Amino acid sequence: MDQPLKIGSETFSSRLILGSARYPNHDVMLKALRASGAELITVAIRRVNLDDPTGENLVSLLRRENFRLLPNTAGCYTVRDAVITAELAREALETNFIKLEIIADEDTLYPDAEKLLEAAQILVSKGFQVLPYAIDDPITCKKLEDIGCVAVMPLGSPIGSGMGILNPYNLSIIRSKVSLPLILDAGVGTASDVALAMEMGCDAVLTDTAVAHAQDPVLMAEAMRHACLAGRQAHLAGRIPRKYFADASSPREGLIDTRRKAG
Amino acid sequence: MQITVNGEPREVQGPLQLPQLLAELALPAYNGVAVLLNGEVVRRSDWPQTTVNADDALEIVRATVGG
Repeated sequence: MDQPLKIGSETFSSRLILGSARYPNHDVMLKALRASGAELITVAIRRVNLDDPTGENLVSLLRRENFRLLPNTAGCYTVRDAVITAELAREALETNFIKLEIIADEDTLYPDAEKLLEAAQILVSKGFQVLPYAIDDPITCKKLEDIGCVAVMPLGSPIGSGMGILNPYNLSIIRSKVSLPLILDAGVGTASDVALAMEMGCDAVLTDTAVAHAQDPVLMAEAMRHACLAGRQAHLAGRIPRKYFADASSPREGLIDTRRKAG
Repeated sequence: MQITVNGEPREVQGPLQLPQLLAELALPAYNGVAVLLNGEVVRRSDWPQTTVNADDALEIVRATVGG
């Protein structure tokens, strides 16, 4: 029996974290989130539409189904914007969990490591439980752990790219250096990427686009659930080492003799 | 008096308290919002004592879909 996943003060039985963006509509989103088994769902913080202030309330929609919310600081390019967004999220949602994202560049959406470390430090000192979206760099991830984040979330490949885990060796190094919950965030394209991350020892996987933009988001969500579980079980079971040569699985003893009778 | 809400100029009777402004904007019992007043986050517990004055700039936010 597996241990539940513990991130900061919260405990989860599912090791899949899903985004709420990019679905064709809220109905498909809810069906997919349910099918995935995820318990923690990311949301963004944006201006209220004052022309429709009582419009559909995503938060009550998600909370009605007992999903827990992980607000993000997506779209922030500066430490100040990210810190303020986190503070607004805490006021709006009454959670001190924050997925910290500080983006450096529009084309790659890569995290700005320098600003990320500074903002993480500020938010930790303000009592936040910080889950930073980071580059797949063991040094940055280790520094984020030392700062007091509750998890580290390195990318597999750029956000929304669906390119999977481009540098599995770095992910292995990060796993060996960091004892915090390690969550693969960004780059997942399909279920095998989730399975691979979990086999490599990630504690959880966060994905959004791979599910929301799949041709059948609900079916993909279910596939992700299975992949996450399969990868986790394979990790716990312990894979065999890789070898260059074959190693027969059937016994060598007791082989029959088919030579013709000597004559 | 004129204030700025979410980047748009807006005419309101004032000065007024923050909860009054939220009510005028049809955001009364909506507990999922947060407010930034002139670049400072207003804690929910401070809303009743917070006055909105002429030329103030507010950002009123909530959670929406995100990844």
